[in-house]
Amino acid sequence: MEILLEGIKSITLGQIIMICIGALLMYLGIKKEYEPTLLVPMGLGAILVNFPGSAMVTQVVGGEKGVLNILFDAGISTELFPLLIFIGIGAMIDFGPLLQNPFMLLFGAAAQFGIFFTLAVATLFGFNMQEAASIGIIGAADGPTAIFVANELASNLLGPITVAAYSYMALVPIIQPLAIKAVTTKKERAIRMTYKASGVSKTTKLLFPVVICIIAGLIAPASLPLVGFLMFGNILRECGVLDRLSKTAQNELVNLVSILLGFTISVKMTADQFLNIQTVIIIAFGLLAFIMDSIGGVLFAKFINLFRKEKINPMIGAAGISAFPMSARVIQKLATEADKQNFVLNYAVGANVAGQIASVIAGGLILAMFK
Amino acid sequence: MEIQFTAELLPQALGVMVKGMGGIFAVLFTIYLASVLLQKLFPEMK
Repeated sequence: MEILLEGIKSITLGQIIMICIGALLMYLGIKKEYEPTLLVPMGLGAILVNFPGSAMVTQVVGGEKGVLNILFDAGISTELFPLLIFIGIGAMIDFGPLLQNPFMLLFGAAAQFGIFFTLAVATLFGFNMQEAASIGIIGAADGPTAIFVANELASNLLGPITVAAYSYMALVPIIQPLAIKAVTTKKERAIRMTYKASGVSKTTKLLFPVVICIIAGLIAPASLPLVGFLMFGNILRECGVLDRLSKTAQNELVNLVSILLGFTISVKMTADQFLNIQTVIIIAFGLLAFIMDSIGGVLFAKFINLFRKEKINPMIGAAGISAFPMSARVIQKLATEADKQNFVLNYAVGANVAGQIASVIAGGLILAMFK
Repeated sequence: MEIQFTAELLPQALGVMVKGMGGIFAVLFTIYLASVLLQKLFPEMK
């Protein structure tokens, strides 16, 4: 009887709180549909790892290696899971809207401002450079990049960084309108942009990922694992002879790895690692990063407008974050709110796709700067 | 860890911010030029 009651007797308040957090993540994933692919497995994982003596994780006192630790060592420490997801993401991306308006690439760059702003603020608050960079990368609005970079630079912070990254990505429809409205007027949001329907040749679409790999390899080689896997997926899509592999990458591969990724990350969600003031600060800084991304993009667009005859709707700048296609949809919705006939979706999608490229480049640059 | 605001680190923090944004603009601008070139070299045949 004593053995049966041991678990109940030894559970700590911290573990109970973590079990509640796990349940909350599952609720948000299932009921609110906030990034369910990650939050549901991660929420259940957070519950399972927080029972006293849970065999899911390696226990400090004489336990065998936990199954989640084995998965973590195999898939996250080696960076394999986030990189495999990138193959699938690459296979899902159509660079067509971006190649129709390549200028949108600059908005992708501008909307990474939140990463470096938050990095600077986190440094001022006493985090070391590696930790600050890992916190800043939440602003990439790109879960696999955040996991990849945080695991390299500050593996101890991986749990809260992943929770923040995926939670805020799910909250883009709430965060972005607030940030954008704070720095734009209704008149600016109503600016119309002429749609120029120019086609993109198949050769251009095929060569574009190759060219990006070459540029990244020459200028920012640290970004090559991220860029290379992303572009590999895109080449599967665009080459025209590997449709079967492209579909597998987009569906089975992404699904399988997503199942394991969320569940495995929860190894970092034990009460002793997660429940501290650092977690609260990281989650607050993650929000700051997302807000400053949007503001950075909008202000850059406004700056560009100073020199242009044909004005750009400044909200397009905010679409330069990596949360695809959610951000583009948010921008279109705000444009319609300001002017019912305003159609900026094509430009917003272009900037949003640019954000995907920019976020992996930013991840690589951060690794080059701080590893 | 102890959380405290250290204003003396401001120049270093700003330096990292400028360097990071400079780097990302440099790479993305190069990709922009390359994509314009690709469009010129391989226009869509109508």
